[in-house]
This record gives sequence, C-alpha cells and structure tokens, in this order.
Amino acid sequence: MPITVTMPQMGESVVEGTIETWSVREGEWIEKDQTLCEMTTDKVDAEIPAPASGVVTRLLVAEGETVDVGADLAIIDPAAEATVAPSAPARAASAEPVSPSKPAPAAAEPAAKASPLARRIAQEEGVSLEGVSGSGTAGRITKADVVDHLSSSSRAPARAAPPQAAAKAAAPAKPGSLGDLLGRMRVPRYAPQPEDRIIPFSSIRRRIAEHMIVSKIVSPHVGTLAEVDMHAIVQFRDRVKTRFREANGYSLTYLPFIVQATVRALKEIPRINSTVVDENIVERAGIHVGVAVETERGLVVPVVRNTDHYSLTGLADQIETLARRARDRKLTADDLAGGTFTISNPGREGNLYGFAVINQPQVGILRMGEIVKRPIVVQHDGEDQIAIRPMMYLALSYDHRIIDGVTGNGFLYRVARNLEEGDFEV
Amino acid sequence: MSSYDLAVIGSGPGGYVAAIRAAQLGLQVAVIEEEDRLGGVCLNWGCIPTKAILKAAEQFAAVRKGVPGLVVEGLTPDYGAVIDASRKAADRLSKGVAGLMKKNRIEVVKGRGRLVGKGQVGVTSGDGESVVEAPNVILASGSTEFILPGLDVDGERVLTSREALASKRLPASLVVIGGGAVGLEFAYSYAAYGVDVTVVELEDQLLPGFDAEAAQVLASSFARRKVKILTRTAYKAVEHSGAGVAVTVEGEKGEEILLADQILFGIGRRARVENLGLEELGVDLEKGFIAVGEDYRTSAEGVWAIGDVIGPPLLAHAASEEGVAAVEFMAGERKRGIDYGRVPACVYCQPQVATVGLTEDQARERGRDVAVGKIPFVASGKAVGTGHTEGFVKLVADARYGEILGCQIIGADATELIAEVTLAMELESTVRELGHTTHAHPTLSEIVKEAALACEGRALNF
Repeated sequence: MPITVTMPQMGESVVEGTIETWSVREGEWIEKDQTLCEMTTDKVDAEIPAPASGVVTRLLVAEGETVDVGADLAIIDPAAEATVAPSAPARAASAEPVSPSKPAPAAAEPAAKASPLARRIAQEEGVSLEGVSGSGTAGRITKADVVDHLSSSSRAPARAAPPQAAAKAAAPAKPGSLGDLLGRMRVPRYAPQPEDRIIPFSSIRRRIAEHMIVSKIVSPHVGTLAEVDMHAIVQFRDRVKTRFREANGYSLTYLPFIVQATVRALKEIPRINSTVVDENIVERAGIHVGVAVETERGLVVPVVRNTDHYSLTGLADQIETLARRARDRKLTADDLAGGTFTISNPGREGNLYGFAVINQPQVGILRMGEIVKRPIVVQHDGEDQIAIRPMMYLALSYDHRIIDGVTGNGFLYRVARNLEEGDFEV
Repeated sequence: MSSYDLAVIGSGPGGYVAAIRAAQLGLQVAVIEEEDRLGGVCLNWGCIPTKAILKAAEQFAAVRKGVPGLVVEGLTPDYGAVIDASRKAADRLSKGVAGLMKKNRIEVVKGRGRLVGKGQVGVTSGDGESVVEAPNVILASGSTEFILPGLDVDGERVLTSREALASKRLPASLVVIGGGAVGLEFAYSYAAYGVDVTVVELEDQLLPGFDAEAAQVLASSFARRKVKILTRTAYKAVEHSGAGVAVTVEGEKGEEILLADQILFGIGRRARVENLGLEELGVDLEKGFIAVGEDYRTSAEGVWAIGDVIGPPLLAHAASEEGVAAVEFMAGERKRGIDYGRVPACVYCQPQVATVGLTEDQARERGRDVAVGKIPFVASGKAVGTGHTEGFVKLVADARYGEILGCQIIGADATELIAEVTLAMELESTVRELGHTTHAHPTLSEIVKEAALACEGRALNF
C-alpha cells in the first residue's frame, strides 16, 4: 500500500517550508529513515526522513517550491520495484546552477510563454510574468510586454529592499521618501572577472541577509562598551573546571557566566528585555536569552527558554545541548523562536570587541570580546597598584527608539559589575 | 485595361517579394517592370554580380599570395571572364525571379509604371500605353547611383558601380570616391588584380557609422594590400588628363591631385521618384525619398511604398521585409512594423564586415549600461586552421539584463556569422542563451558563442 509523505509540523510556529533538494529520484528505492529531502523553513533547516522503505514512485513538489504544513510531498510504495539506480546524494547539490541570481523555480511560472529577455527582465525586477499578456508570436511575452507591465504597475521597485522594510518605510514611495531612495538606490554593478568564484545564496544565507538589513533599518543602533575584569570568574572557573568536566562530561565555558550576569541585569532593567509593538513598548515578563552559535551553514540563535530559572550548571547544560543540536542540524523551529535578548560570542581570536546587529524583534544584543590579560590599575589595601588581569570588552548594541543612553549604559554597567563581583556557584 | 487587387511598380527585391507575399495571401497581383530583366538593381547591377566579382577576386588574390601545395607559373588575370561570370549569375537569378512570378500566378507587365489616377497605373512600353487598375499600388521603384551635378559619367574614365560592373577592362590605377560598402567592394576587387587603388573618404573612418574598431582593422588590412586610404578627405573635381583623370581632393594637409586611369564614384544612391505621378496623386516626399508611415502607407490613399525609394537603410533585405510587411498591413495580418534595430548590414570585401543593432558607442550614447564581449578570430581554431585570423566578433549587450543590443563582426564569413546574432535578437535571446548554445567545433561560429560568454566575463578560449 503506497504511503504519502506529507510536510511535517516542524515546530508550533512553522506553517510552511521549502523543498531545497530531493535526495532521491522518482523510481529509486529508499530505506526507512534515509533522507528523503532537505527542507528549509523560515526558522530552521531539516532533513525529512523516509517513513518507510520502498520505491519513491512520485515526487509531488518541485525543488524550490514552498508548501504548507501537511501538504503531500512524495509517494513511497513499499511493494514496488526500483526502476532507477540510486544516485549519489551529491548529484542534486552539484547540479544547482552557480549563478548569482538563481532563476525563479520553474514551478512558479508554469505556463507563461516568454522570451528569454522578458524572463530575465522580470527576474531582475522581481516581478511575476503571471497576468502579463504576450504580444509576440503565438502569444509569447516579449520585452515590450514586460516593460509595459513594469511601467503600468505602480508597485515600488521592491527588489533592493526586503519586503518588511519596504512595507514599513516605502509604501507608498513618495519622491524623496526613504522608500523612494531605497528603490532608486543603485550600487555599481558587479562586473564579472574570470577568476571570481560565485556562491549563490543558500536560503539560510538569504534569510540572514534580509534580517540584517531589516534590523538596521528598523532599529537605530547605538553601541556602548564596557571593560570587565574577569579575574573573579577565571579564578572560580579554574577552581571548578576539572570537577565540572568529570561530573557533566563537557567543559565549563565562560558563556554561562555571561548569560547569568545578563539575566540578573535584565531583571533589574526590564526595558532591555522588551520589544516594540506598534507604538507600544512591551516589557516582557519572561526572560528567554538566545545564544548565537556559528555553524558551517551560517549563524543560528537557539534560545534558552526561561533563562532566569536556571542555575549556572543548568545554563551550561542548556547551552551545551543547544550548541550540539545546532552543529548536528537537529534544532527545531521552536528552539529558535521566542527569544527576548541575545548574546553573541563570536570566538576568541581577533575579537577585541565589536557591535552586533540586533536580532529582531528584540531591542538589545550583547557581544563578548576575547579575554586578554592586560595590566590595569586596581586598589589593594586602599592603594592604587598595577595588576595583570584577564580583561574582556562587552559591547552592547541597543535600539535607540526605546532605550536611552542612561538605560543602556546602566544595563551594561550592571552586567559588568555582576561579572566582576563573581557571585556564582555550581 | 486589366484589373488586379494589387499593382507593384518595380520587380527588385522589394517589389517581387511583396508580390509573392500578396499572392500567398490570395491577392491578384501585377508587377510592372521597365527593364527587360526582373530583379532590379540588386540582382542585375548590385548585390549579385558584385558577389561573383568579389569571389573571383578573392580567389585570384589567394593564389597570388600563395596556396600551400599549389605551384603557379605565370599568373594572368582575365577580368573579362570575371565580368562574364557575373553577368551569367545575374541572368540566372533574373530568370529565377521570372519563374517565381509564374509559379505564384503574378502577372508581369513590361513597361514604365506611373500613377495616373486613384487606383490606376499607366504603363508605357515600346508596345504603347496601357492602364493597370488596382485599388492598392506599391511603389518599389528603388534607387539609382547618385551622380554629382555636372559630372560626365562616360563609362571609360569616369564610372559609377553600374558602369564598373559592365567594364571588362582592368585599369592600371583607380581612384574610388567614397569609403562605404560600394566603394570598398570595388576597391578590394580591383586591388586584388593588382590595380593601384586609392580610396577617398570624407569622414574620419572607412564605413562611416560602422564600429570604429572594425573600420580600423579594415583600414590596416587594405593598407597591407597596398590600397591607399585617404580619410577626412573631400573630393573636389575631376579633369581629363592624358588617357586618364586628374582628381583634385582636399585633405587635412590641403589640396592634392591624384592621377589615375579611372575614377569610380560610390557616394550614395538617390530614390527613383521621377515620372511616377507622385505629385498628381498627392504622394509626399521627405528629403528626396517617399514619406511613409510605420505601415508603409504614403500620404495618398491606396498608395504604399517600400525599399530604397522610401530611404535608408538602402538594403535589399530591408526592402524585402518592407514588402512583406506592407502587404500584411494591407491584408490586416500585421500589427507591428519592422524593428530596424534588427536589420543587419554587410560589406563583402575581405575581411568581410557585418553589423546588426547598436555599436558599443551608440549603446553608450543611449545611456545603456553596456557589457561588451570581444573575441578576435585568432582565438578560433577554425580561423587559425584556415588562415583567416584577421578580425573579431564584438557583441554589445545590456549589462543588467543581458539583452543583445548589437553585434559587429569583421573577418572571414562575417556576413554569414551575423545571422545567428540577428536571430538571437529577433527571439529576444540574452547573451546567456547564446553562450549556452552548443556550437560545432571547429567553426567560426564558435567565436560568436565566445563573445556571448565574454559579455558575462566567462569566455572559455580567450
């Protein structure tokens, strides 16, 4: 009895997903739990496993197509015989066109007969050919038809600006308005050079890019910097790290300390743990801190839910688990949803400090610098002395729409003070 | 008096093709031709006989230069035989047109046609006068060599292309006035037989309006063939001098007198608009050509005009397309006129020159963001193998959309190679499709593909 594979519910907030690549062809045999396809959603990438062994008799969705949760994806017939030899999984990936602008998936423009130039113009301008009437031979859509269509439709050229930014700032794009400016903005065109390597955006890269642009437009970022003497924490960690490793099976990093110090400060200054909804500031009751994790496919930010409920060991545990799932690409959409504040730890070398881009719709992000030993002035027995201390810069980017300098600085000061006081326990 | 649906005055490549298209659409058609032979200037005194002469000249030049494995002793040109061959080709094609008229049941009326009233064409011939009635008349009377006022074209010392095509004598020296297509084709042919040729051109390059780089390559090539090129030089006067002519020209360095056996004028063509009854019927002219709309209607009802008589481009293939278009407009089978940006133009000397659409400069003048793919023939295996390394293909595209805006080719078989680009433009292909198309190896057409790839910065063999 053939089995229909449907688009799974990948988290409560996910409503649709895009098939990136099929790992099998029609007629090919697949084992139970072998990867059927790679899927991306707006939250997470995932591999969909075959629910049963059998022959994939039909693939119902084209690569690049976006479908709703519950939609039929493929049919597997356990009783059928394979008609196609298994293909190397890499085949599909390498066949991907290496061009800066990936052509619109064939499925999106099913019936429109159009000249190559008409298609190219539509693609470059980000318009659909659907509904454009063709004046060419046998109703073919020509350049003239697309140009007519473009000049008659009043839509702002949304190509450069992501939809959200366009909706917020550009509609309708009056001359001289921000939307008009974004629409007219033309950066010098890239002139291809023979040795250049062109890597098309993956869908996760595209989402990161769009998110970054939107965030920079929506939130006026202000940066502020604090210097933290990590002496107490380094000493504390040195004292417990061997024991910790034996007890828990992984190393205790500095990150849980930063998270805990941050949580304490967020409780003191709830304005930082807020979001903007229309013309309201919403100070959120729950504290859910996201921790930015670098993976080979890009940056993801899994969230430690109810961060303030955890002890230091609990936080270390949560972070370790999430980081491992991220590396193994096992994160669910819910792991990534609902953060109220983010901490970025971009690694040690070459990172004195830097300012991160706010993770929307949050209003602040903290970025850890590297810990470096530096001579600083300390007071000992009421006298100034020079001491060698492990120092770290902590950089806060905050949304100046709702956070003023005093609030932002006050928050950062409290995080720094919490760390310097070293009041932690495992 | 005989009645038809359509009368066409002139049986050149505009008129006879219009007649055939009309016959295909079910019209009763008469073609009125005053010359004995059908086909007009193109077949009889233009495109076709010159190609026969150019081919012979090319072969003679090749043998004179040396063909590997071919030992030649005592190479003597027989130019009379060349002219004979060219006449034979013209005759054969003219008969071919007559055959096409018969096949399509088109009446050929011999005599000179003239509009004598609404829907009436008077025909004057040796046999007397007659009237052809048709509600629609297409004027396709073509053009003739432009001759400066007061110039005595004697066919001996002073010639136009018309006389040159019948002249079996090779002069020792020749001055060609005009560095356009006609002038250069004759300059090439005569030079190939060892005639001492000087080309005088008013503009600052050969083939004015063509791609400047191509003109430069052509000028160098001609210079290697010992043809003297005088650009920015104006023709002033010609006088008889001994058995030949003394030609006064004025260049940047002042006046100069060129002595030669013959002078050949290739300075353009003018419309044949006399004695057509235009004024009486109210057919307007514009700058000496018949004025028409996009649908080839003139200002007089029921009177249409196509081809050289309506003005540039003065090209046989343009005339044919106009003939087809005019008839289709007439029959209500057409909505859009001809896109002249997709009409190629060719020059058949060696190296050949072919162009379609915009040059790089023209595209930039129009504010286009241009990507240019230029590939020399020397990058082609076929070109190297066959010894045709002179020239290049230059493809001009829109940088953003890859739209093919134009192409200029100079080199062997350029006039054949341009067809691919013209088709690509007609189909609205971008450089991407052109670059993705498999081209047989080794062929010169690979250069076109490479040029398309070069527009996107990814030429493979250059």
